[in-house]
Amino acid sequence: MIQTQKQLFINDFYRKGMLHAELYRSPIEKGEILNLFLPESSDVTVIDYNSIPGKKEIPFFKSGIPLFADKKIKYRGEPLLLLASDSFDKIADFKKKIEIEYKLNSSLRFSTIDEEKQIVARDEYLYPEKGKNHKEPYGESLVSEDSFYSEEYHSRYCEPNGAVVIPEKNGSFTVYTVSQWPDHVKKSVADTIGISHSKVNVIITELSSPLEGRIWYPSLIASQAAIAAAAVNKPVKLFLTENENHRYTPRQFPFRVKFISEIFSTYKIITAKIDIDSGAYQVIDRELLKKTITSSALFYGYDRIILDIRIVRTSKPPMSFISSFNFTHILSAFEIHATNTGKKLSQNPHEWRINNLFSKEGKKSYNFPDLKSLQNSRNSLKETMNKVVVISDFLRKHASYELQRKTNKYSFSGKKRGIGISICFFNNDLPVESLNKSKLSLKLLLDSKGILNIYTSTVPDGKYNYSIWKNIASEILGINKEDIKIAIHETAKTPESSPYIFSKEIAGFSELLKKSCQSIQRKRFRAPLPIEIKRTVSLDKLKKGDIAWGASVVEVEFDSMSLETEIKGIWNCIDCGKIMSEPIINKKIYSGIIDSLNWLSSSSGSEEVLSYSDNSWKFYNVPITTEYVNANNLPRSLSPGDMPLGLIPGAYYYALKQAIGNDIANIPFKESGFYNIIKKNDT
Amino acid sequence: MILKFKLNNKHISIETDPSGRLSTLLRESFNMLNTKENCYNGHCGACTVLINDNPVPSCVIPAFTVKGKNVVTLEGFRKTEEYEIINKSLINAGADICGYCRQGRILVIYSLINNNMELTDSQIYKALSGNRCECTDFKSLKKGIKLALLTYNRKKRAKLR
Repeated sequence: MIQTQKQLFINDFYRKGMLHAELYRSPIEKGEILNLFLPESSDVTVIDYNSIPGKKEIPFFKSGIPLFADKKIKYRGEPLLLLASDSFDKIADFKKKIEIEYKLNSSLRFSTIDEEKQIVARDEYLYPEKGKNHKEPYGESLVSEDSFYSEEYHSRYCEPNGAVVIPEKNGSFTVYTVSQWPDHVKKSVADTIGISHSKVNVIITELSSPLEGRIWYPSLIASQAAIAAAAVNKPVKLFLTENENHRYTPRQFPFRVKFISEIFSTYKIITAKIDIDSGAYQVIDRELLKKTITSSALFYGYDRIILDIRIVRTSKPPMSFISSFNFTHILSAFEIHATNTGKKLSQNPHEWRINNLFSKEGKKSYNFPDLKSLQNSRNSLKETMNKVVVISDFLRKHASYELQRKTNKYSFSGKKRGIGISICFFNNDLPVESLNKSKLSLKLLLDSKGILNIYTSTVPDGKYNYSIWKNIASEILGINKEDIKIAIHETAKTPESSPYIFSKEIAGFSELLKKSCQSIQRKRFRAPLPIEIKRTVSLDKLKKGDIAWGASVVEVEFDSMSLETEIKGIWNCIDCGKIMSEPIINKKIYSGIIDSLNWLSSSSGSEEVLSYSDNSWKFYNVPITTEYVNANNLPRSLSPGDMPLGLIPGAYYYALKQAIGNDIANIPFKESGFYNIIKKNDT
Repeated sequence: MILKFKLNNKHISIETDPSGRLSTLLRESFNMLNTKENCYNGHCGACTVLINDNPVPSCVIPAFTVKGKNVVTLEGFRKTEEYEIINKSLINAGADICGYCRQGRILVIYSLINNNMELTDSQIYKALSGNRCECTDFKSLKKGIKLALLTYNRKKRAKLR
């Protein structure tokens, strides 16, 4: 019988004889461990670098991330030991008695980059390449320049990372964890303890909130716990505290970007110089950055794009992909630059965008996979932009606040308003080629009792997806939703899968499910029950190129006495194809907006001292209006995913900039920035 | 120390470390797994329990402080009529909360509707600011709470009549 009952959370797992485990982390960010004195104890099992029976690191893209530090410490909180015992008190006593001697080296910082030591990769790109439709610009140009710095971003989920590893009698291991990539956990655990991949079964447990930020980190935690479980032949639970989770698990790559636009009368060039802080290990693919920038520059019809991308190593824990790989934040920075460029040309932000949209005819020489789709969806973009401008009364408000700002140029007191616009797109193409090769699979079993069981390699992102899938199956097969069971993800029962991070996968899976249900429907009247259907599709064979567009307007009021910003309204217009469930999409958009406002208002502190604040509750009452258009009449549904994270910051920052009348260079904007602006205005 | 208190309206007597966390006592000695231990500093609200009808983060409460008091967790609260009202209202409003923050949110909502005849948006938002979880959206939560308040008041009035 299919297992669909609610699973326990990792935190709630108890097994007879189970040991609790904790990580002992390095007290320094960078340096060398000279000596580590451990107390004598038979109650605590100690696992270190030398205890690893198999591979000593877990693979991720081009980097291998060590399970434990050997001698050299490369990042803040790098694990040195795993301590396992039947009681937390024994571990705490043991930890207190550990003595450590180390040599401290200076940390690698993103704020002061040492080119020789820190630049681990650098790429330069030029579109179009010289000789390929390349024209030299002529005449005088207007230069617009903007620099932005984005801080680390940490997903605000409630439940910390953890794993339970249980050694079975037949020499195999069962791993309970929450991961976006169960097959990566399976392979990492097997390689770490030196057994065959088939001997590890990974079961995904109950999940509190979205899967964000759990691509490779659960593999690390599970592998660390597995070494202890294999050593003592007992179940081991490693569950991080919230503080550990916040300080040491992967965050989103901070970046520094400088955009320079040169606008000639008939020619536009953009230069983007980007530094990405990848933490201690390079877990990002440059292909992704290249695509992000070229895509965003392309929809403004730049004739030439020059990119200079540097991956910077720092003494932070390895970063990860959260909220669509930085994509949204870089896109936001680009949007602010687009608005500023328009302003320099004395055009309002909407006018500049409409005037500079890519044309259907142009840019044929770009060898860029998304270009055709971009060109095809031009009408959709125009419609979303025009609609959001109308529903927010953007043009009148923008002109009025601009006039107000100009007439009160030297007064910096009282309440000032500002309004900003931003656009964003999402497409269902995978950004990293190597992941495109992975497969998506589905098994449907309509049993003799008429119950439909769904087994899939996709790890669903919570109940929203379950509900959509049940709707699809119920509609086609006419089965009650209560009689549709979706199996808990188990690697032993499902074929290999890619990480669950892409809207393409969800859109692809829905298509696959639809076809499979139709196939069952056809067989149903000819074949006796049970009927089983198995389907597998390679992700790169799924239809490419569908693009979801969104446009947002944010209006703010800045109080120069209290330095507080009040959001007066947010208007969104989104085209994401066919809408499968309006309440679900509304919830996703609303949560994304709250998340981005929280990110904008809470600084993660400095590189040395991390801080964490959750201000999301302050925004629950913000008036939000969202309208949907389907200008392209796409029959498929595209997940708007993290679109608000790309839309809101760009619009918010321009609105704030208009209200305070000065440039803003930091995302999120720090309070100290206000004082600098006041100082600047005073002088 | 032998600690005597009421847990979900049942008299309890247990030998325990008086300075230990109440949340740990509830989880480890009574298997009350709906009380989640997460931040250990009272910020996330996942460990909220009712002590004499007031919502309190049990991870920052030493066990001895509940001596002689009534502690309610979701395991006990689930059997009440108030739970039914809250749960139904949340479902009807489309607020599908996760199992991790469920106890905290439900008990805070109970306290809100039990202590107020009317609720403003800001009262609701401030009360919920102590439960940090992004499993559902606050629009639906707000709708659910207002619906629960309405049903709860109606039932209270009916009882008085």
